Amino acid sequence: MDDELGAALRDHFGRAADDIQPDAALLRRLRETASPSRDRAPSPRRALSLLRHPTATAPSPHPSGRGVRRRAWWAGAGVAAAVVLIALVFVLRPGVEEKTRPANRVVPPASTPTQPGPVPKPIPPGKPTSTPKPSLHPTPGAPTGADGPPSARPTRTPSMRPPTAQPGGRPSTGSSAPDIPHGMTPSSHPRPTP
Amino acid sequence: MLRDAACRRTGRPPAGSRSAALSTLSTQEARGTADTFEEFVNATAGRLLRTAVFLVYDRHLAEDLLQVAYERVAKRWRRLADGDPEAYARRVLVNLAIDEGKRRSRRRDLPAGSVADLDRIAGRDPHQAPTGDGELDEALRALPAQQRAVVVLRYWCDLGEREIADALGISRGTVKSHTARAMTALRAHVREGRTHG
Repeated sequence: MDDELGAALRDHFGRAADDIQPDAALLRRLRETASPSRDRAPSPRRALSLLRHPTATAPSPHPSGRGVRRRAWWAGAGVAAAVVLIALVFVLRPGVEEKTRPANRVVPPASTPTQPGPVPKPIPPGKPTSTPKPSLHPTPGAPTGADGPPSARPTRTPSMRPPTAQPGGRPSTGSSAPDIPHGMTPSSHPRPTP
Repeated sequence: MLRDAACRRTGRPPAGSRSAALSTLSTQEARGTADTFEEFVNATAGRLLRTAVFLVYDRHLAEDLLQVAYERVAKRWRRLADGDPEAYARRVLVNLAIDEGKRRSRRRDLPAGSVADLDRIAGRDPHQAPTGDGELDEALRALPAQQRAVVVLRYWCDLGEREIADALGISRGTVKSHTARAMTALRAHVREGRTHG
């Protein structure tokens, strides 16, 4: 039965094929498929789809629409990228300078060499100068030396103990706060020498 | 039947035109591969058009699908020229036809053509006897797209199971099952027609 049906199918296809011939227009259309799509005649379905979107068939005002548009797009993108780059450079540059400026600043010595007293240690280059500078005018109540300004950086003596913790958990800075010279932490509070 | 009516032929032009093509080889090389592709189109358009019509049963749709298939061949012509571009074009055509069949089955409002419509399009006498077998024609149209593709590739293109499986991208077992179901449906349709006839 399958052989009979297969033979019938072959015969059916053979007879129908006699009447299916490509016409000249179709052959021309098919041969032109290798050429660029701009010069190709659209198939009926494509022509219909183009008719639905009339803007697709509208001729471009420029002579070579697609290439010019693509080039303009890339040029615009390049210009935008360049503008963003320049803006970033201008925005970021002052910030970098501000960061680097304190490290390069030279701190003048606290006292002149003619004045007696301990010479402050030289500051190594590049180290941030966050140490408090001794003021030439002592604050009222602050202990002063016999013949000169207080030492900028008092040496730590064995009698100087770290603040002991109170039962409440707070360090004992308490009543000695007014005696602390300006700019000195309580932990480095020098005791007046007798 | 015409000499080149069979589906399965080599994509190369016949021997006579081949010698003429060799004589103008330098001219073709100077003009690029367009002439070679044109020769391919001239040699295969009829066969592939018939295959397309049998696959979709609509002349206009078949022409559109054939153009898409040739466009894809043209894009890969440099790689396909040394191989079998007609087999590639046929594979593209079959898959396009199956996709179109699925699309049409989802949208029932689209009209479905027939080989018999070709007579009406060609302006022949509608009372004349149809070109093909009417029962088989209706039965083939009623088949699902993939089953019809298997039947067309097997009985029109004379492809084996492995070649059909390669063309459709399915396994040989699926080809066998599609063939068996299609033949069962066709047999039932023909038997029913004979009973009613």
